[in-house]
Amino acid sequence: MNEIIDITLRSIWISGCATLIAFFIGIPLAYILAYRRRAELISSIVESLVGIPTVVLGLFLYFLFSKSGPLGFLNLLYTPQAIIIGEAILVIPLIISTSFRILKNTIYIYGEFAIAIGATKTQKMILILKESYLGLLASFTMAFSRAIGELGIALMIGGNIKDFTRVMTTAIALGVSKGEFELSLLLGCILVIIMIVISVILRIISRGIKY
Amino acid sequence: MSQKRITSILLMIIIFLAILNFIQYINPRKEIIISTSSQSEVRIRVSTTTSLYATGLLDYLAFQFNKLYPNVKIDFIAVGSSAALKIAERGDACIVFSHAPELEEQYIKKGVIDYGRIIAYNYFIIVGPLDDPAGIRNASSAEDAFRKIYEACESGRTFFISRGDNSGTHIKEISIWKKIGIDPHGKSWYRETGTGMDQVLIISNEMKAYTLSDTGTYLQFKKEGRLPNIEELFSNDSSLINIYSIYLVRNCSSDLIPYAIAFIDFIYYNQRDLIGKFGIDKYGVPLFIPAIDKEKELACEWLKIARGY
Amino acid sequence: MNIISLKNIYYKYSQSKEWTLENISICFKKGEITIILGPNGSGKTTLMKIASLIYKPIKGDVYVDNKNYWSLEESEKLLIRRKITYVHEKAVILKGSVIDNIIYGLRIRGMDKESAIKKAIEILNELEINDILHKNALELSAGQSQIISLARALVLEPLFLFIDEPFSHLDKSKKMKVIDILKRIKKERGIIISLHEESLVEKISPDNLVEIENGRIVNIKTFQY
Repeated sequence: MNEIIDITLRSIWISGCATLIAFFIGIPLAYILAYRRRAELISSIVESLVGIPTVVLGLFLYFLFSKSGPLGFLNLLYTPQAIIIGEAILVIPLIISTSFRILKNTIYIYGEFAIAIGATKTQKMILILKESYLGLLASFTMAFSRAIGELGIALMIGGNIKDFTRVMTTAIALGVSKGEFELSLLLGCILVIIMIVISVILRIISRGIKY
Repeated sequence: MSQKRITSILLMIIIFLAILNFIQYINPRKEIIISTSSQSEVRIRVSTTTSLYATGLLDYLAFQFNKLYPNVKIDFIAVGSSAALKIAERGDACIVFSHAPELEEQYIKKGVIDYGRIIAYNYFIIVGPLDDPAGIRNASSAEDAFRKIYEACESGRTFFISRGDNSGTHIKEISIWKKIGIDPHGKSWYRETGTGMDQVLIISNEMKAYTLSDTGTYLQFKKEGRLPNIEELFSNDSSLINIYSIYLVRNCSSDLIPYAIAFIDFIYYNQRDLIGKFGIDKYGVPLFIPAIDKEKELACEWLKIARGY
Repeated sequence: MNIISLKNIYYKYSQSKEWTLENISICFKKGEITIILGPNGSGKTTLMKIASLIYKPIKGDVYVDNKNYWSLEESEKLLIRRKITYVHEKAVILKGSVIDNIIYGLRIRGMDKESAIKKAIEILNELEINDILHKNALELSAGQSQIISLARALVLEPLFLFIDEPFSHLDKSKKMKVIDILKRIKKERGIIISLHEESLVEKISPDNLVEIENGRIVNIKTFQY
């Protein structure tokens, strides 16, 4: 039971860090993109990257982080940081493409208003981020769910090392290969519950912002 | 207003903890140069075949080892045999567990692995439907059993499920087909799944088909009650021998080599107590037989398999 | 700041082929009410947005007093822009209470919260809508939203006030109330209102009436009272 709690907390931390990093990279990029006049090409490329199979990305990152790869000297392979980086890369396109639409819409309504009422560039940006808060929060939740629910990256560059990089999805996969289906099912249920709880918590927090 | 403040405080706390967590991970847990006297943590990475890891033996060995070397953490990366060796070749692991002599031989020649020790063995088993349509229960040898399965399959009475993933088990299966001069690839009854032993056993159970399995995974699944439709039909033939070896990876960082060798030696010299008794409490029989008493014969068998005699 | 003048303005939106505005020249002066009259799609809103310095014309210049606005430094532009306010036809409502909405413009100009609220309440009293002070602004009716967005502009005391179709959702008494206020404050500022029907022109009694059709000015009338 202790191990399950351990794995669950580790999963939340790793995916949470990854999503936060991706969020602080993705939102500014989406903001810049939303202001470009001809962003269709870039946004469609980004959108197509949303569905990238996690094993493909995992394999790619494995070659990058491997000792004989270009970033081998960082000693990142099979560490939690590697998973964090990998999952952040995984969800950045998701965050960009979802928040891009929201920001574009908000800019359309509030961008002009901000100029009309005499806001500086920074004030305009703050206003737009504030007005699209709910949507950005939804994008964060989606990204977190994707990060915590992915298997390929955690397995390939995390290595499913006991007490170190074992997260819920890799533990589920191991449970299946051990024939311990009940354990896997239990972890699976916890995973789903976490996704729901996080989403509900963010909704409740956001209600505080709205008014 | 107060709600707004609470939200921003919550957000700050989350960000702060995230950063803290990241820093904490980065600092002490890495493979850093250690002096022998200090108690700082060392991580030795070990790539291994999944079926071996899934038995729980390796975690048990690491646990026992940690009683002597509490500051050495053994990290297991569980993948297929060929992937395990590949990871070693790329310098991402210091020790490899493997049970595919043909592959091991290749990597020894390439100079990737060294300091090999045979640590245990058991037998691959042929499992199949309870009513045994191919009639292999009283086959005279593994080759004979495979020939009987071939005939039954050709007449449409059953299927054969293959790992198809270059694992040790898969390589063994291919070598048996080769010995009897049959190429099953492309036959409608020959299903290559490309998955782990666990999936293959589940599929065999569903399809009431034959397959070759390692003992550990089979016993575990049988005990959990996952395999009501199939059972062990043939085993203990010398040509089904399954030899587990442990190797040191040559380009392992020189700071870690002493610890890696200590781990290998620890397992090698404690086979009888650690490996020989593992699994008795759970399955009634040991999952692996220690190699130390039959070392010469096993080395001979290993060579035979590796060179394809 | 006494006069905004547009010289030979051309404008079109990026996706359209035809000019939305074609060769427009016009002045708006302090102390005058100007009505821009034209059917829907005639280019009123675009003209208002160019004159209120939101859109940059594709050809032509916009002068504020004698300065060519679009060739000024960013800091200078901001100073000018903060004295000119444009009120959208479809009210833009920010998240928060009514009072949050109204003080927004004052807050970004650096006014402290207390005095901003005080000013906002004055305006709301004048418009007789102080009963919705603490309501969630997103739950207001269309008419209330329109009044709020007007109040948000009035509270800034701009030198030039552009109002796009201000009366479309207002009932009669509110219409008269707004017109009264506009007339009262016009002395120190220029007020420009766009309308699509003539019926209200007489009540407002503007100094100038500009008629616009298909992106061109077809008639300018100046009234003397």
